[in-house]
Amino acid sequence: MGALTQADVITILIDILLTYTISLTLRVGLLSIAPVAFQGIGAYAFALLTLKAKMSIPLAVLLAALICLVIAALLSYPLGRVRGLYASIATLAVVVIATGLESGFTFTGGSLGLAGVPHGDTRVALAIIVVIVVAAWFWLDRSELGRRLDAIRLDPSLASTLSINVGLTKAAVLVASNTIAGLVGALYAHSFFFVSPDSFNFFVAVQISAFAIVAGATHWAAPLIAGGVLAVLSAEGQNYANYTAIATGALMVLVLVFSPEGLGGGLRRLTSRWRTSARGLRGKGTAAPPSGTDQAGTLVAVHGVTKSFGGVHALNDITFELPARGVVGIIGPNGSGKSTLLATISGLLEPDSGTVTIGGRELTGHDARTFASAGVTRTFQQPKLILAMKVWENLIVGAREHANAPSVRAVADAVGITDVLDAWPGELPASQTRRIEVARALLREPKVLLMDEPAAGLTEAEARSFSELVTEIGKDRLVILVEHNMNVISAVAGRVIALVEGHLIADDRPEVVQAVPKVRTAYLGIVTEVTS
Amino acid sequence: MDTFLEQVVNGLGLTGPILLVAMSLLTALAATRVLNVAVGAAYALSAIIAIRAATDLGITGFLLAALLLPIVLLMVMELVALRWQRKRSDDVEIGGFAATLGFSIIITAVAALLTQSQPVELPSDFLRVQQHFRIGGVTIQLLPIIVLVVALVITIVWAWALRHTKSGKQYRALAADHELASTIGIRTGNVALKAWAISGLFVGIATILLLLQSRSSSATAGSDVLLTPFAAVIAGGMGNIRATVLVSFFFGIASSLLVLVTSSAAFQQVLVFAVLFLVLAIRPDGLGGRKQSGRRAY
Amino acid sequence: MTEQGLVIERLTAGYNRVDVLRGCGLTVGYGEAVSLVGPNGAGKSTLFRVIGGLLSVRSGSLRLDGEDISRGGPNRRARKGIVHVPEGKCVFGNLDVAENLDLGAIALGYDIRQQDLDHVFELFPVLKVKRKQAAGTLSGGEQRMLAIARGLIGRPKFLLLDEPSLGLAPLLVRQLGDACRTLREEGLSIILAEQNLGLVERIGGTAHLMTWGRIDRSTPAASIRSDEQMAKAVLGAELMES
Repeated sequence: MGALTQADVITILIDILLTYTISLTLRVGLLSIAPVAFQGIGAYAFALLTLKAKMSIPLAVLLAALICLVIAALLSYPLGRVRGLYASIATLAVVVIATGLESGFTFTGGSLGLAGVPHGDTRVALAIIVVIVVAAWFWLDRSELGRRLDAIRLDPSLASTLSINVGLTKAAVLVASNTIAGLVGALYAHSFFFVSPDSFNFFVAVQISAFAIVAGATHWAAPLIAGGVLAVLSAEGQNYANYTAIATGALMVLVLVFSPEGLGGGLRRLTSRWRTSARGLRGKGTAAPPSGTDQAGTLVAVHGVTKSFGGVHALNDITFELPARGVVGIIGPNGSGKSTLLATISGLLEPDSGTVTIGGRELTGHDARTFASAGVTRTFQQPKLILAMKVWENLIVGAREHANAPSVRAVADAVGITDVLDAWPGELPASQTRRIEVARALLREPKVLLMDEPAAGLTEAEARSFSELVTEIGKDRLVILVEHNMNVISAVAGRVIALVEGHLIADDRPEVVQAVPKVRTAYLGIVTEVTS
Repeated sequence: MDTFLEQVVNGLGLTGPILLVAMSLLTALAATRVLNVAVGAAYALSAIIAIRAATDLGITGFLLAALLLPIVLLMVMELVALRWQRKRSDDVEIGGFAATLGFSIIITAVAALLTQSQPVELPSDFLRVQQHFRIGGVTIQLLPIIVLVVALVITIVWAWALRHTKSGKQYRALAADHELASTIGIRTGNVALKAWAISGLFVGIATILLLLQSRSSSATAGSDVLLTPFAAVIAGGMGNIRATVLVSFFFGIASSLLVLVTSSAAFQQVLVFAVLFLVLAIRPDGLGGRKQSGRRAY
Repeated sequence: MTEQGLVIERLTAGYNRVDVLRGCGLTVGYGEAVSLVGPNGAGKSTLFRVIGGLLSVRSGSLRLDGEDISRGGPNRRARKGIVHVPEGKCVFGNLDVAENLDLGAIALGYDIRQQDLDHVFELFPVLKVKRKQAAGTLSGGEQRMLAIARGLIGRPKFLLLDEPSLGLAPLLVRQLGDACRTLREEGLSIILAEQNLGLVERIGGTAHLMTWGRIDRSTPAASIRSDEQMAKAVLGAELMES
């Protein structure tokens, strides 16, 4: 191995930083290759500011980074809107557009680029930025913010129901990643006399994203190691550039096939034994602090709600009001609109007409997060837990920390899952995962807890002990329960709402509702035979 | 006015290649939900080898190399990367896309090794199609029209087959839910491999027709061939054939008309991808795209 | 003398380092109905995934008519006449009902037969009404019926139903039970994993109690509530007292 030249060292440091910027986007489940475009934007901005505006070097570097920050912020709205693969493609569009503009305009020197950029040794500056980025990432791995980013990557739809602002978080990550890349780009221009569009094109972007994919996003050291090794390889092997490219591409494919979380995933598994344990959780505090709605009045009011899908009325002029405490059951045949009603109350669906009021605030038309912050939390038909996180991590992800927050241990005790806090949710039976979901919901201090068929798939014995839990929970807050199991409904609900074909046909005590002829025929069949 | 018309006709000529490559992308997408970025690199390498074959072996060699190599390359990708990824998880959209990026790096590097990064050209007398005819005041080249017709025929046949044939239904079932498709008895491995082979065949046809037009290739020729069709597929909603065809025509004609405004070719791709970016910003699932989430109605 | 039907012996299987099935044995002859009951986590779904080919056998044997079928993926099991209707998502939402049914035959390599189609429409009339509708727009219960119908199109020998009553209103559960009974009378073997004892009783046959990855006890389905040990495990102790 030959000695590395100054230019090699700079290239390696820059590649490591760019690997970090792309890895950061992988952390929230995106694959953004835009950092390479922003490296170019920063580099061109620096070149133009120094050459045309004759600006001093430190000022030009800062201003170039600032320009990138502004452009990144402007782009973050459309980029944050698109999901999954489309987001990667949109960032590819940014790369193609940026290089196209750079080589199209004359003031950027066309395809030849700009030469004579003020030159200096940037090794120290770049090394300092590397240290800062590594330190920030080290902190991220241990913080609540890091866990939120993980939740967004592992299950974005779940993350948003946990009142994590997915769009804003992704946008912020993109802005951070692109701005750092812009700063790096300015230093790149300062290091190498000239800038040209070819240094920031599609092929370069693909190469750096290969580094990032090999590194993965889940360990602070991974981009440093993977980006560093691959960058040294390609710097050392300039005469064999094509062979190193083949090796890089092959490594990238191998990582994707055999270890999709990359080097970081492996490192994290190695260290998880002593890092992720429930032992650090706060042991004191109460399970259910006062929910704040002591008044006896109406908590949830649904007025004249109608919702149709393609001409079919799923809900037809539904009106009811629910108090701040107690358990209310919703029953009805399949397709009668129960799940739609639940989705309307939790803000996942907007009604065609009518209003939904929670705690005196009309929330119709607001998104699920607004409903969540008004105190609405839900559990799902199929328990939604992040399988790559331990139970205790599932419980606290996205939960707000404040002085009066319920203690995780106390809630786990109350719900009966203390023994499995350190287990992986994938290894637990349904009876346990339902309880974990309930615990997670309770930690969000809900005023209204919506449960979608929580007893489905439980044995009758399990269902009975689950009913006791629901009754207990309903003493301090409103629980709305969609359920087929009449035993559970009768045991826990003080009031039952029956829907048939989108119409509310009964709203009364369970035994009264069960006696309504329409309920008997449409729903229960011969009730004694099934539930005896 | 004449130059305007001429550019529109020119644009129709540009549409053929866009549509051909777009169909190749759509085919792999239809069965496996993977957007294959390596199509560009596969084109570049196949074109380089086809040019060698044309020089050394004549027409048969040229046709065989151009048609078979992309099929083999794409089948290898499916077998090596996607199949294994799918064993781990059903969600291969981003992973598969990234894996084809990796293949794109490898294939481009191999092509660069073969050519020492120099462009290669077809022999000047090899299969020259220079016929043209005039309608009104406009000269129309024959070859671009042939390309467009071939592309349209492939599109129509494929769209019909996807809806009505047994294979088509299997492709769609596979794309919807891989594990379920396997559970009900579909030989998912074979079906996915077949889809990628067909996608490779379309790349092969594109290689022949595009080479006859451009008459040269290089290791990095793939990105020019790939990027506009790629944008058309995404803007069309990743899987919606009708919307993809419309967007392809729009891109072809708009790129051609751009010549009237600016002389720089660099702005063509800026235009295409700016449109794509706008489409995604306004309708995040593309123009013809349905909402990705398989929402239950009730 | 050749062995007839599906025979499972000393089967172990599981996920990661955990064995979920621990020496499980089960025999299902042609035209028989077999129900698996028991607590969650006992391994019912896991057993189905193994029989359906979604999960590989670690040890023990899985034979059909004496032939070892423990190797190969789910599509090979389907071709041997074993149709698995999994729990949860079970239809192709973006295809319409008719296409979903078509796939039941296409998947096995032949065209759909009109008589088979008529037969499933007779069992589940709602599917005929909605045959041009995208499967994803059906209600949960209708999707489950569609999945069963799609399985029947392939003329299976064994039908594996994993918690078919999940999310179904009691009336639909009764209809489903009647349909299964009819199918059984026509010679189909049905293997059912179910919490809803009403459905188990309606379909009839034998009920097996599954706990801790093996089968502990078997009774006729009709007497499932009167068998003390079985009822204790499934219904819980309290109900016995009352």
